[in-house]
Amino acid sequence: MDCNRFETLLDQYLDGTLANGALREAEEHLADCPACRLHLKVLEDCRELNEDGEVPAAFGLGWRQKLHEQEAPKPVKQFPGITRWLAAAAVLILVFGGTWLAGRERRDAAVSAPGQAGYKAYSVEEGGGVYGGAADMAAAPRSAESNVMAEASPAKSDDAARQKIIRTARLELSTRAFDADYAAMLAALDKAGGRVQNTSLSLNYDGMRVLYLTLRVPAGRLDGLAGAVKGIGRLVSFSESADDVSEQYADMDSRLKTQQAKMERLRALLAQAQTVEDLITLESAISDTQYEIDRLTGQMRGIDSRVDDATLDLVLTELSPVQTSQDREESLPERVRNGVAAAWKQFTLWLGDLVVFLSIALPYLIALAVLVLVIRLMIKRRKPK
Amino acid sequence: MGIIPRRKGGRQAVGGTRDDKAQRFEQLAAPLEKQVYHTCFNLMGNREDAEDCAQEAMLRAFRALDTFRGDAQFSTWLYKIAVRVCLDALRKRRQTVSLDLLSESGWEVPDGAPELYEQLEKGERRRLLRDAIGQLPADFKAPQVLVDLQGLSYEEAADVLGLPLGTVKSRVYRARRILLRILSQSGELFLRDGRPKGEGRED
Repeated sequence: MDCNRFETLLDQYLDGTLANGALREAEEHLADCPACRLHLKVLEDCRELNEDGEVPAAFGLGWRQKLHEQEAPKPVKQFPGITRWLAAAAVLILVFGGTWLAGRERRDAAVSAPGQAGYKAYSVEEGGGVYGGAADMAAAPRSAESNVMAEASPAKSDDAARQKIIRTARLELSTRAFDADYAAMLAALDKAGGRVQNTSLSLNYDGMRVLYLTLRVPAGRLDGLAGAVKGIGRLVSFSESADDVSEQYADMDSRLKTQQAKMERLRALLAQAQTVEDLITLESAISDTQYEIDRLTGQMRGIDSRVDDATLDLVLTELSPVQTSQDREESLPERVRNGVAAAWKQFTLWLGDLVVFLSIALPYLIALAVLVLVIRLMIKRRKPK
Repeated sequence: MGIIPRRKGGRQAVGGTRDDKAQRFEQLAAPLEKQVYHTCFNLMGNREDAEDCAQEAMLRAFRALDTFRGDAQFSTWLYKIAVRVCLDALRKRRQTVSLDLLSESGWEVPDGAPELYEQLEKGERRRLLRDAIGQLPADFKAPQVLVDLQGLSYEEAADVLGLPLGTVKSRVYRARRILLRILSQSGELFLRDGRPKGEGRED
């Protein structure tokens, strides 16, 4: 028996639950190992360290005293200054926040309604025309980087099957003809055989539309699609990246093979298992291994999908129409009049939102008021006088 | 019980319920006060902190009495609260522990140390041990104290600390080794008559 073995048996030794054989071995080890003798002695002393003598009076009296102080009724606090301010702030936030939220629905509705109509009109009428233009752009010279990538990923050569490259491109465009350009993009995507994975449309601070598209396209056609889309609208930014995950993939593959081999061995062992304990151990090892296999397969499938289909993130920002009136300098009375008119318009909108919010919130406010009343009544009943 | 303080005249009982609660708690907790106090003492290492923590534990338990569901033993529940209070207090102490103590895996036993240790008076051994336990980092101290001083099983200690069984076991093992290391390095004990350090632990 060595020291480590003795250390693991130490608890049983102290408890006196060691089986005879092991006990003898432990005794033998103790006889010629001073370190373990010390270990044992220290632990024996530790056990004696615990006392059960009387507790200090300060504690014995103290906690009982405190107990009864605890139960003394606390004076019901009236709202002191700070609480009152907090309550007022909460009400303000509630009213303004709620009104703003009510107004947001109105604004959102304004965004989607004209937009939707526009897209439909364009996709039917002008889709074909723009489509031709986009195809021309596809032939435009590509960036050096794209060319390198194009060599690595054409179709499905043997090399490409082993080399795992995840390609991602991001394009930001701005346009005045928002709806037409959107339709043109969809057409180009269609031609490249891709699909839209994600669309989201929102308004920026100027109230102009911003469209976020996530497109998935077969990796070999990413350059074609990016080229085609670049020609639509005004290019703001373009970036492209290619992550080589071949090594990672190969790693996963070899881990998977190891796990599969392990699985076979485990199954073979399982067939020969004789005791219940063996069965249980093997079953749990098998389920661990299966989990690992599933995890690896899932990850590899995820990579495969991202390698096969490249991702193109598109941001299309609508530019505000040219504002000729802004170019001319306004006179002071004009500016005041415009300002007042704008403010008044905002204010009436806000009032509308407020009414909407209040009518939405009314049932809740009533419920809240009832609750507060009941609580107050209960408090008063508890404290007669 | 004679120690219950009498209520002061000015305070009127508001209703039966609160009074009952205090009475009930006192009945439940009084038989356990020794255990609570000594646990706190073992963990905190000195009387003042032990008193503070034990008292705090009693109060916390009293305040939380309504949440005690009876699906565990009251004693276990109170125990858990006491240990938690002490752990909080220990962590606040921000003691510094030398990394060497934590990182080494074995310990060296100076020549003749076991004999020397045994020859010490019991009181002196206790003081040395208390001192060494006091130097353990809180996370190691709690499992070690619960298992080695309080005599809890690993399962009980895991329950009280809310830690997995394996974690508790390994912490107790490591705490013991750190303890031995601290003891081995205590010059007062092992180097007092200038003995050179002996060879390493024979494995």
